[in-house]
Amino acid sequence: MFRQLKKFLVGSPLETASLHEQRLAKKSALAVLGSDVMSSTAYATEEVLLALTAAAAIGVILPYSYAVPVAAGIVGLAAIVAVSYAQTLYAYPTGGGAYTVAKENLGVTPGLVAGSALLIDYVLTVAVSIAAGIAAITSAVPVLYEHRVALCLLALLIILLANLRGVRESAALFAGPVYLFIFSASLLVVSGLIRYVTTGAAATSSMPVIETQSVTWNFAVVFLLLRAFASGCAALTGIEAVANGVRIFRPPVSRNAAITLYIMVTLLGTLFLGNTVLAYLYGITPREGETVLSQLGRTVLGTGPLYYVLQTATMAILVLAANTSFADFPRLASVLAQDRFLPRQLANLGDRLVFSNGILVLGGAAGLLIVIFDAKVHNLIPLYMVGVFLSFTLSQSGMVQHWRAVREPGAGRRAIVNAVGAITTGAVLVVVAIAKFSQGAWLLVVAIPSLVWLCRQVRQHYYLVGRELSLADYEKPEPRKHLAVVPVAGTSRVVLPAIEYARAIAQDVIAVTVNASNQDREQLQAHWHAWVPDVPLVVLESPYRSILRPLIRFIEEVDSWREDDIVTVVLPEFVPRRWWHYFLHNQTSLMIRAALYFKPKIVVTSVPHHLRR
Amino acid sequence: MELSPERKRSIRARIAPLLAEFDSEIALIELILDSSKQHLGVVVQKGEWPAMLRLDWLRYVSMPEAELRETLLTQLRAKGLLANRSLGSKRQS
Repeated sequence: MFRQLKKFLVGSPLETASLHEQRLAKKSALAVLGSDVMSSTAYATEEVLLALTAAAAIGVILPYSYAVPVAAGIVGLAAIVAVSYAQTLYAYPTGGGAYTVAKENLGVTPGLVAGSALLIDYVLTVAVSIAAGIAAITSAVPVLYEHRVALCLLALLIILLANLRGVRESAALFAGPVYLFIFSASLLVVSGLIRYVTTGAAATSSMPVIETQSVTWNFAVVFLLLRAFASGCAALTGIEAVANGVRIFRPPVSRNAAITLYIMVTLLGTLFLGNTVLAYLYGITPREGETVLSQLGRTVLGTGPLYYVLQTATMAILVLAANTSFADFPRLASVLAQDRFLPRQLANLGDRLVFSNGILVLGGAAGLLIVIFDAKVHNLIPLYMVGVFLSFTLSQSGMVQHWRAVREPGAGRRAIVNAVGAITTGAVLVVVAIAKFSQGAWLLVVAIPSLVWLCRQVRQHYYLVGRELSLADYEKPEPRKHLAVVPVAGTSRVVLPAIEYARAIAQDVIAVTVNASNQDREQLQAHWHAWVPDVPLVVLESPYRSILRPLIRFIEEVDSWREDDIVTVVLPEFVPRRWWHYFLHNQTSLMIRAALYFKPKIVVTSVPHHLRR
Repeated sequence: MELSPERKRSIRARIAPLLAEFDSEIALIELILDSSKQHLGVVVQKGEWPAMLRLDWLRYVSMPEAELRETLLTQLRAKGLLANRSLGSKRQS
């Protein structure tokens, strides 16, 4: 039944040989890896405008027109990061995420810092984007507000299942909404500019009063502008996705990934800058109850079907921003697991040739955040920018080191490009960290080192296990005696084959039963010896009716009886024909197995008897 | 390996009174001889706690009563089936 349900939800297993078929063309990869970046254009302009507005609260008046150069600066930064990351794609065609680049060029600790920052960032991205998308729905239909957590978890489940079905299927499922958003947002920018040029904005709005006031430049103004810049840098989150997820591209991998990266950043720059310019031209300002993008859409496209298409696509892209994390988190986790910094299960490809365990871990962690924060995860937004810029900086610094080491033609020029990327993103990291510290970025100061420590502990564990299992200095043990203990409940077709099996593997066999129902001992012995005359039956009493306590103690005693013994506990078990029959029987074997699991030197095995009816 | 009923009876007749003397709640449950015929396992139980006392089979046959008593006492004490205080008072008596 479980298999059928799994097949229905996730699909049939795929052959390993078809792994290459799961690789994506640029068009599909853009939908999978670009949704995070694209979604940020839905709110980045508003973030900048809000930061400019917030300045007024401390008595500094910043004109909204400053949003345009701030946005231009962010787009310039995005271009630098893109060029810088494109070089990484060619240098690391098998996957050049920040972790790999930083680890190989700067050392293990910087690599782990970058990897941990990204892992945390991906979890936050999923929680934040889904909550933001559902918030868009509950804003439109307020009656749903009280069910927001359930709606978030439902959306999370849908994205999780789509990703468990495989890369190609998730790309096919989510490409529509992503491209619909790109189309409608582009239409908004183009229509808005044409409309402004042809009819002007006078009919729609007038510039706010603060626009006309002059600015007295001082440290506070610079800081507030930098804070606006830092807020808008939310638009850059997701750029690293291509470098981390490079292995999902069809060959030529580096070229396809680089082209996709450039397309993604071009769309990001166009839409973000376009929205910001339009907001300035049409005098749109942040206001309670309606997003800047919605105001722009209503002003430029009217309140007809195109406006609703834009709003629906925006809601969809906000939710689907989570999909980028579902593409990258499992890949990064698998790389860390291959290096033994995370549990090995995360390195395994699942039935559908995706890292299913990583997908489940990400889904579980994001779901937990949604529940803990009651789907009001806006406070988490400042957190994940710090992680992204930390990984940007470490990755680019690692690339500078890489080019210095390879000494190939053009390496110097490339090193300069990456150095510019590292310095710029490093500077933004400092700005973001300072600007967002009090809003919660300090949490990362605890979270990232904790995860790094955890990774090192996992690695240490695997190292110790490897050393213990190693055959170096191994001395072959002396031949040992073998004793089998068979816990029985009387004699039956289940018990006798288990006794035969025990006889086949051990020189000594002891049967043991717990007389919990206070039966006549002599009778039990007589019945036993009628069927098994040559195997002693130990009848343990149980005044408190416990089966396990006397039995486990007896097995421990047998284990210490002869010092050179191997003790095997042979469990006679019957296997019901139908799964629900299990609920009709005691699970004593299971409990015995569980109780003996951590006892060294005791082997537990079972002899199953499959019931026919 | 299963001992013959007669052999079991004779061993029981020797060990059971000693156990009863140590603590009347300790019951002799089963006697098991291993396939190498070196070790005799004496399964006893007090309350719900069983224990397996170990005797050297070859020595057991000619073991003096005092030594058998001391061997059983030592093992019961080590396995926690016999409290030191009650053991002391029994021995004094």
